[in-house]
Amino acid sequence: MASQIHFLDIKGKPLLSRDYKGDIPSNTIEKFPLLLLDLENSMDEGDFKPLINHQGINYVFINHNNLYLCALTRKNENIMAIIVFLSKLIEVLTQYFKSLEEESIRDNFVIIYELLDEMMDYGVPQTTDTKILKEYITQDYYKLIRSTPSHLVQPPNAVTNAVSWRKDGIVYKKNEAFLDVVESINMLINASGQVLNSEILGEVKIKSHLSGMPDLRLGLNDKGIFSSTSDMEEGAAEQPSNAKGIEMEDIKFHQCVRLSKFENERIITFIPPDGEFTLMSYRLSSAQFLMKPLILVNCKTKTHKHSRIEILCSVRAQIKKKSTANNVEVIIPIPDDADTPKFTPEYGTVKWIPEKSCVIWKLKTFPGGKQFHMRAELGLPAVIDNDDILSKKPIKVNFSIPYFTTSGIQVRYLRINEPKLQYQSYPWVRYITQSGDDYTIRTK
Amino acid sequence: MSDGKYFAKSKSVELRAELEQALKKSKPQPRIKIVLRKVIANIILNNNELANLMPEITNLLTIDDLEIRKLCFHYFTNYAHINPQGATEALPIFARFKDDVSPVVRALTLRTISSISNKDYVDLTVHAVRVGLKDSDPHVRKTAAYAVSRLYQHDPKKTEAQGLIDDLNELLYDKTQVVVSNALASLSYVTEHSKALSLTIDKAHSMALISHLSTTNEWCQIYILNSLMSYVPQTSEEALDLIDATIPSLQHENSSVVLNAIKVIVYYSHYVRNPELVMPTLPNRLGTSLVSLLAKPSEIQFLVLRNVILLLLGNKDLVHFDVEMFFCRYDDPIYVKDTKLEIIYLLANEQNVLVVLKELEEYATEVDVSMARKAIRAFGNLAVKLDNAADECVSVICDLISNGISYIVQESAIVLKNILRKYPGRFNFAVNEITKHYKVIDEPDAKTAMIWILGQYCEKIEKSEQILEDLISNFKDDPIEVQYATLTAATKLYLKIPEKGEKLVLQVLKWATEEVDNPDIRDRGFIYWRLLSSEDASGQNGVFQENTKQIILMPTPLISADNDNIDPKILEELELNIGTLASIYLKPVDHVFRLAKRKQLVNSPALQRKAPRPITSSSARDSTPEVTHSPQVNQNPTYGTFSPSDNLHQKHDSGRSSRNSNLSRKKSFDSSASSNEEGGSRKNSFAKMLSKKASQLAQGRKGSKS
Repeated sequence: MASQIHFLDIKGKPLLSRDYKGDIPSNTIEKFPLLLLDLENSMDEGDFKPLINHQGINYVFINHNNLYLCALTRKNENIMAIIVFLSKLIEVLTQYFKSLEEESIRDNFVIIYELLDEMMDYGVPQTTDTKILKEYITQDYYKLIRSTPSHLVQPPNAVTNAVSWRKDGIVYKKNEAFLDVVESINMLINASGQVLNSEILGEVKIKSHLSGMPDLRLGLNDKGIFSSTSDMEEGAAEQPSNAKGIEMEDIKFHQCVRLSKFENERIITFIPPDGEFTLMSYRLSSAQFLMKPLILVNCKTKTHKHSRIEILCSVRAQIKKKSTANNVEVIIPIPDDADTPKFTPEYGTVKWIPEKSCVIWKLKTFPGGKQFHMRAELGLPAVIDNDDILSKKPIKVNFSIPYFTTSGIQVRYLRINEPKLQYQSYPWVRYITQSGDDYTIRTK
Repeated sequence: MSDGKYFAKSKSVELRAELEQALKKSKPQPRIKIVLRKVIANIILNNNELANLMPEITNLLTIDDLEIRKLCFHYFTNYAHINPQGATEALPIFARFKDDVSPVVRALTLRTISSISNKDYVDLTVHAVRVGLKDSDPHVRKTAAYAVSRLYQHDPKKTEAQGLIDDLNELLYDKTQVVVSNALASLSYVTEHSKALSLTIDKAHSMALISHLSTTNEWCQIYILNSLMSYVPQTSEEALDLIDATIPSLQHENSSVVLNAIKVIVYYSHYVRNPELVMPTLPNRLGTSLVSLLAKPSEIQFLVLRNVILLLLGNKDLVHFDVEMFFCRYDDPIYVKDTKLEIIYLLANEQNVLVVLKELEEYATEVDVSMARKAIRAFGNLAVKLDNAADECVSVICDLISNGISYIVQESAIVLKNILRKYPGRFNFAVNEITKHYKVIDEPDAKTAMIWILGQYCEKIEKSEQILEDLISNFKDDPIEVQYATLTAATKLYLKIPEKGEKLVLQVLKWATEEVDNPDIRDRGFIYWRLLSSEDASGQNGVFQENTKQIILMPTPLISADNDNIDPKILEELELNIGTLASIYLKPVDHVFRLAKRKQLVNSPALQRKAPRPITSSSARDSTPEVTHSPQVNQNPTYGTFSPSDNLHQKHDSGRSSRNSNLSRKKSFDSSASSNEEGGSRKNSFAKMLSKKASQLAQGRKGSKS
């Protein structure tokens, strides 16, 4: 798929390259910095994209920590696979070196070459699972310095095994599995408090400390999304008009889950990889769960030109009385040149962050149903060049609500069965609802 | 300890000395490794002088240490072509390695020797691969599968003649799934590059492959899904079964698996009549699985969005989206916003138009200029597309114009021109609004539009002659399209209000005929002049310029948003390429990739040929108007450079397409014949790929041509 993979610094200078196919001249990448520059110059016209086509060669790249990872190809290749591979490559290298940056590439170039060889063959991605790679490509080279006769090294059978994500012979003294159900809420609210769109992005994360090859079975509550989808499908056959009743949208599973079993019987069964992983993620376009914002912010700003800006803000937690929201942060944008802030919060603390042009109102704990107010006043410079540019930066809200899922999803059971070892095991479950990356309220 | 310190250009002489030093020690390995690291660092630094070190490196291969060997192999892949002499001397060692006891060494050796294109190495590889494909270790078999592809790249004729491709084919019956899927990946490379070979799979094998899906790793799933595209379902039931079996993959966490699954489903749905009625949940499933990918990093979002556009253009009954999901976020990168805007436009219909307009208004007042412009353009296109949204659109545009901000006014002028053409006489108030702000207009496109409006509506605009005069004051420096518009507008003005326009038209005609170098402008100038001064200009009844008016003031043809169809053939090909680069460029595949093999739906009794669009749309649910792009509406159509419309519909080379369709019939005949004939024997019923017969046929055809 990819003919070459390159690591480049922020200016586009190559740091490390691997040629997989030899069908593109090796100096092609030297054009990349210029192309990048062209691209940035044309950015105003909205031309900036994660790929460049130049003289029949396609440069597919992503950016990470002042680095570019770029794949070259001549042909009409599966670009999605390439981009996903590049981001997995970053993931793997980050797990190997803690952080991936220019320096760590130079410091580890030999191991990166080895990894690149294992992760991709002839430009086709092979395996991107760090746990498996770590089994035969160890970072600690200096341990290996005593010579290893090559016939002693076997390729790990996990690579070619049926269960490619778990090796044999894992042993724990205490067998435990920790389940975290995390729901992130994204919501777009307009200035008058109406919800424009909202979604719940849920994740079930598992930390597995289990011996052997355990077979797990996860049961979720009836009331939750799973039964309702199957209902929906049955109902939909007769009455397509009703199909919109519940909008359960798309569950995505880790590769260990038997998808066909889920499709047919709606049972989640899997052999987990060792350690932490995300078992499933789901998405609910949450019209039926989230009629109103969990945290409602009402903010009025009054700008007195050339003198000051007044902000009047109120927050309300529209959640159950016994629930509590923690670490609520309301981030209110202000003009770049505002100064001399004065705050009078009813509760919590307010901070002015001039470098980000915003004030942050922090409320450590926020019981459900309560409402708080805050007044802020900032000075504006008397002379302003162009005051008609409206900054439309939205207000952002961060929060987390423990012991609570917005969708009502609940874990009923997690059955752990290791046919050979038959040990006792302990599953633990935690729930949390939090703000997603995009819980925003537009300003006028 | 870090390797960073080895980054320095070294000379082969120095390194040779260091190696000699190291070999004198009783335990030389650690020292050797350090030297080798320096060598590898120099590969990164593009130091080709180190090719001279080949004999020493060859010697090192004899040391039984895996790490040293790995590093040496890396050296050989990089320098063998620079020092072929030296590389040839290493041949015997490699020949020994390929039968090493350790599978790791065998695999590494295969990978290394197949990467070197020297003739001697190719010969060695041919033998090594043949053995490797039947190796007892799956890891080696997998590597051998790719070695075939490499060999094919070096020397396709030899690879075929040696029967390696048939051997590779045998790997599809391997008991290890990883090997099977990698063999598929390798085969798809070979078939993509070969004219005579093609991948064909039968139903039993495709079902077997699908059952592997759940147990293989994510990347293998991609290759399996891809190869499913090579099976042509013979009945609708078959296609439905296959769709059913593919649906679980929509839930994979790897975005690429999801997109490939969608590609497969879309492909098979061509073999089902009204798939959206047979499987009512399908449009929702496809839609939501795409939307959920929008939570990924923006590069992935972008790819998904481009493919959403593709699906909306081609198969909009098959996918269901809520337009709200595509509303822009404040911090989306501009290329994501662009694409979302385009999708919002495509999804807009009579039901959701109010929500859409509200959202667009939000963008139009954005700080980001290019975003605001695109939003206004979307307003214009929507007004043309949806009749009952036009009033709302125009009133928003007028609101925006009234702020008098330069770029907004300019963009609005362009858009208004189209609206006025679509609804003549309905929005005269907008004309007055825009003429108030004519002074800020200076871009060619906007100017052309404004001048056209002035010419067309001069009798309704106060002091139109003054405004026009202002606008065209530097006629000679204007770009050519503005000059054309000016000529026409001045003539119209004169015809409609002779007493006011006379001075102006004379002036313009004089400029055009005497001072402009461009012959076309001069010719146009002369034509108008002759028309106006002709003896017959006033007609028999002596009415002022009656005949000329008939020529110049003819009502312009109405424009509409839905009279343009993208060539279904191109769409079809793009749909078969979902998730690939072509789907991002949204251009016909052969425009971007000259050598790419053409993909198209292969004929089978179940294939549903799409009727021409207007018919399908009238039978489709409610009366939602056709969602297509409208290049006529705009000289520089829709948003951004990736705009599908200008690329997609310009190709109407009839001769060529008919030739293609002939070819396709021939091809499909071949494949169906071979699959029927060979259905009998057990092994053949299980995926007989690249059946010799098919390739013979193909070769025979070639022979007869020459």
